Amino acid sequence: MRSILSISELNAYVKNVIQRDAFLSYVEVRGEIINLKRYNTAIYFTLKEEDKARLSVVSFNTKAFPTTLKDGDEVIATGRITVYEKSGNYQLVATEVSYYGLGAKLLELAKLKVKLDKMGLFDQEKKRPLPKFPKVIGIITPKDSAAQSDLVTNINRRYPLVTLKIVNATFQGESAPSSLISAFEVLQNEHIDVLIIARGGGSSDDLWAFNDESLIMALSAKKVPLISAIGHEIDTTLVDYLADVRASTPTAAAELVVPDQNELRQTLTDYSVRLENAMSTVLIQREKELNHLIIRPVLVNFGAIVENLTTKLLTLSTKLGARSAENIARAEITLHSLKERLNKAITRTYNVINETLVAKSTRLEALNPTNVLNRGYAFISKNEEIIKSAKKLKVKDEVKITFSDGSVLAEVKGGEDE
Amino acid sequence: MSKEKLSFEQKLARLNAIVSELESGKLSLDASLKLFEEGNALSKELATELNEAKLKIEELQGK
Repeated sequence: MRSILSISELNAYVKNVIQRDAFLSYVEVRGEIINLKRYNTAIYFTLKEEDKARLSVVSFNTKAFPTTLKDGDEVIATGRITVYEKSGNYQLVATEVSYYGLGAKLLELAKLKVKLDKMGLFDQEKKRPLPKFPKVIGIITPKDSAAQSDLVTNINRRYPLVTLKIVNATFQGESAPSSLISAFEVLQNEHIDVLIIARGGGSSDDLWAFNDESLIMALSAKKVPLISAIGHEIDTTLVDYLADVRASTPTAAAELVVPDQNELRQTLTDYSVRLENAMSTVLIQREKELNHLIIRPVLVNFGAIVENLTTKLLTLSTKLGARSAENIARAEITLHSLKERLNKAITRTYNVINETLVAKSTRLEALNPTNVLNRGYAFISKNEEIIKSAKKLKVKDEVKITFSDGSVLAEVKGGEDE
Repeated sequence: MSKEKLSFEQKLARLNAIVSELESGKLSLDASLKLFEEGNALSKELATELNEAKLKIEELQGK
């Protein structure tokens, strides 16, 4: 007896058969995504195996679906096979979609990381500080890359007192690890103070070279601190773990590796100001000492000279405030000779004063008339003028005779000649 | 030790030491002046080094 089915009856039957099949209730299917469509509650795409076969996939579990997935990605879709009765198509209802190959690679990477970690390659205690003022910087970058020009531009802007030794290497693909190792070995034989491995941001999917075991082992022999600027914020590569410092971008690496000349200039200015202030303080101190000298009686007469010099010193120290390098240089010379002149002047002054005082007091001692009068001498004066000659006097002249204890008036009675 | 052979870093360190020493105020006028001169010369030298510096780039070949 013929049994004629409606399409929906058939589709329901097929659906039932398929849904009862244990094997089809959980499958993992590998393929390339095409025709990806995202909706709020569901994601639809087709899995393609070259030109041989296709499979429709729907996923209602949007959270289990990597947001980065796109057409062309190789994935593994996991779920059950079901029939969409309306169209008579069967499809995979996926509960999970993951990158094919990546999962395996990530597992391998995790194992490698543990192994290298156990070897102590990533120990924090082994991280070396960067030199503050490097002279030679080794750089490994892709040829003609933005990373290279960013490094060169920013290092040149900040601190052009360095030599850059740049080796270009391949950063992506199968040959990348060996190319990077070769570049590293070239720099390992150069005299460098710090090493940077840098690549740009951009499409930064292929970082696998930086997880290569042979590369890590080679780099672990580094003689100088390593900065990694691989340029990927999310995934940390093994090179990043090995590096002494990790920079987010080549520009950030430039900022870490050299000081900023603007800050250095500011430091130099600060030092100059401090030098001037300190020197002024010393000069003011000397000035006080000079003032102290001036008020000593022995120098009263020579105070003017010292004062003059002091004024010059003061003027000079004021001039020092004018920060022009030339003025300072000139002031220094003047100050120096001035100081020597001052020292000499003071010494000379002391000597002169001493000699003068000694000589004068000796003479005064000898000439003191009181001493003479004490010995019985007297002197004669006329109209307040001391008379040293008999010829100066005439008969009848009235004169004053001074003794040691007083004076008397007398009249000239006659001369010896007469 | 010739000054010319000192690195930028060494000169900067020397300048820092000079400033501190001069600021201590424990030196004679003569010694102070000498340090002041040396400090100013260093500061000038360092500024000149910054002004005249030209980045050197050597491109090396990997295998």
